Amino acid sequence: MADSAIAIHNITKRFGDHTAVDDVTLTVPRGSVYGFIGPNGSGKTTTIRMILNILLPDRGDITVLGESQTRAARDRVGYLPEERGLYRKMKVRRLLRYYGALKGAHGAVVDKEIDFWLQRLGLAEWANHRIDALSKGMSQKVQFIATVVSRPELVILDEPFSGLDPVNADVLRDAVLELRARGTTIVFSTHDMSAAERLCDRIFMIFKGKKVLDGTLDEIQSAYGFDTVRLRTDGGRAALGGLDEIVSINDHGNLQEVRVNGDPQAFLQRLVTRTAVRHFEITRPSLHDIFVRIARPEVS
Amino acid sequence: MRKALTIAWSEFITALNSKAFLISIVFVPTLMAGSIFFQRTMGQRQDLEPRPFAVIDHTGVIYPVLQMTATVWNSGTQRPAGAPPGPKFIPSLVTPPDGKPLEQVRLELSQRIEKKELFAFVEIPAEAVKEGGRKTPIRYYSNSPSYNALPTWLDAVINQSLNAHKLQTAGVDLMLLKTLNEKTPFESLGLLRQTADGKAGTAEKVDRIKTMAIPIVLMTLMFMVIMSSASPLLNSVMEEKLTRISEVMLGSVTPFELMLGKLLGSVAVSVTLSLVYMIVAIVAASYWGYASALPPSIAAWFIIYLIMAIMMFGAAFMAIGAACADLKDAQGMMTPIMLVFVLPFLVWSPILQAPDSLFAVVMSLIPIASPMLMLLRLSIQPGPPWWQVGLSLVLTLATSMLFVYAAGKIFRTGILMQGKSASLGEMIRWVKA
Repeated sequence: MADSAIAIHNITKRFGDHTAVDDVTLTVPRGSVYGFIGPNGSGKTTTIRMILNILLPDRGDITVLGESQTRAARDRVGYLPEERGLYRKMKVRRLLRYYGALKGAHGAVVDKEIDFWLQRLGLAEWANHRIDALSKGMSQKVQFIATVVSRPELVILDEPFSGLDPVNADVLRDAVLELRARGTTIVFSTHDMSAAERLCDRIFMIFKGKKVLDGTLDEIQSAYGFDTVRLRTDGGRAALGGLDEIVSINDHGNLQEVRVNGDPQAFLQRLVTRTAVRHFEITRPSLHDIFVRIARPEVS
Repeated sequence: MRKALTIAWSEFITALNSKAFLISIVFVPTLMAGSIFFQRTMGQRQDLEPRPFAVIDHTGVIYPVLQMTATVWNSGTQRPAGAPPGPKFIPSLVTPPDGKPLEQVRLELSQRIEKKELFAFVEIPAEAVKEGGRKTPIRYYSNSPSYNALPTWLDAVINQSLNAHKLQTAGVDLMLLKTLNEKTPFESLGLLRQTADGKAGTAEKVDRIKTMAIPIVLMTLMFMVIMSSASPLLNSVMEEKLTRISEVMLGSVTPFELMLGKLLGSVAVSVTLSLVYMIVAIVAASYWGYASALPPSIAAWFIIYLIMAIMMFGAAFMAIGAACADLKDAQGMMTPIMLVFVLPFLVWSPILQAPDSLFAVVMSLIPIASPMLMLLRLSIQPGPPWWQVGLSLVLTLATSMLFVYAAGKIFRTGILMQGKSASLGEMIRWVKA
């Protein structure tokens, strides 16, 4: 396991009668971008907190960056929690220095990183402003810098793009790619399935405390086969009513993602008798679709 | 520990730069300087209004003595050196015309008082100079019942004059009587100490300010410093919990390091605050001639007990902050702690009167009250026996550590709990876990 950044073996965590994480095993290779997905309350944050040693597992063990006592690796791990927390009255540079110091990083290294990232994320002129003077997007970028300012080997990002406008989301996504280029291992917890598809080398899904997916996107999609048709028709969603082959419809408005039971060609033949078909693509299910199939089986 | 110190330093610097600290650091010295200025100013602005008053002297013998005494009083020659000047008392004799009812005279004088022509009038009964005449009172009438200077003066002067008249009538030699009645001064002193060369030193005169005011001031100062340093920890922890800063912090430090860092930061702030107050207090004491009343040993005891008190109450406040989801719940939980916290203020008076009584010893050994009450006893000469101070230190230190340990356990669990405040039972379970 020397090449793994995180090695989790059969961990279980209970809160009273509720089992938040149930016998989960997972290996995150060094240098990879690993997506953690799962519905709210499925055990993602609890798993992350155990990796960070904020919580201790009731059973099982966790090795982080080769250290079985995860506390020992804490200084080499950067954590961006879903709920942002910054000292509002502190000035940006002082706050970043403080967070760097808490990670045991050398002052000169921290200063160099602060300058680099402030420049990179377009915040250089805000270095001496108080946090409460920043916009939400700027605060989020500062929080990101606080996470990486000590040059951690492993970065855990919990919903890093939530609440950001597309421009700032792109800036932050590029920053994540920059980290990957440096060789940093990234655990990326998100509800944004398209972002997970685009950024992650591997994806882990937890549902009701149990691991339900773990692999590359290709491996995961292959397991579900080519049972999905992406189509655009003049009739839209209404034109699909009453077709027996359809198992589920994921309606995107102008585009429908349809899970088909049976031969897609036969389905196409029936469809053209109802409406003009502009686009018909037989494909594997998207991560979003897979997520929904697992998390909402009663719907799908 | 390094991380706890990093947090402590950040907390210290943040506090030093805050407006609250600036207000605290300026408030007490300003209050002290203000009180000195006020006293000096007011000292120079004593009651200097002339107080004209009428005298109905039914004895016919007291008024001349009263008039002469007033003249001497008004000249200020009898006043002790350095005493502030007083008001001038200006008597005038009123002799009721024959046949005019006395009630009418009294009414007219009252009306003159209302018109501000007079301040008061006094009626000396004729029986006052007769044997057994003490039953009829000297009557003082005024429209300023709270004003004491004139009635007090009149009471003393008229009674002395009456006594002198009676003694003279009885043929007693007044000069001889005065000599015989002369009061011997009484002085209260401390104990003699052996000097370095083995001889007996001089006993120090007991000073009321030194024995009463300084201990109370020190105890109050400690209360203020604890309140201004420890209680903000609750708000700070709660704010960090609710804004999720604590979760970011817990990605870098353990909950105990976080709590300890904040606690040490608070200790550093309170010690800084105390040192400033102490310096100001010593300057003020020197100004008033009480430099010896604040020896360095008392300042050292103050700091030692303060640190333990902050650790104890600060840890408790932080545990509450971590366990509560809103300020209302936190205030409810703080109430019993505040009741314990103010305990010394409920019992200081008997301890000050008898600092070596069993009650004083027991109360000052109770760890939660010890920082304030043992300090109170230490600041009263000759101070408590060394074993009591030692026992108090051990008990208070042990309790502080117990508080920090228990608070650490509550803090660890509570800080990540959102949306619901913990009950007391839950907190106890967390401590036991």
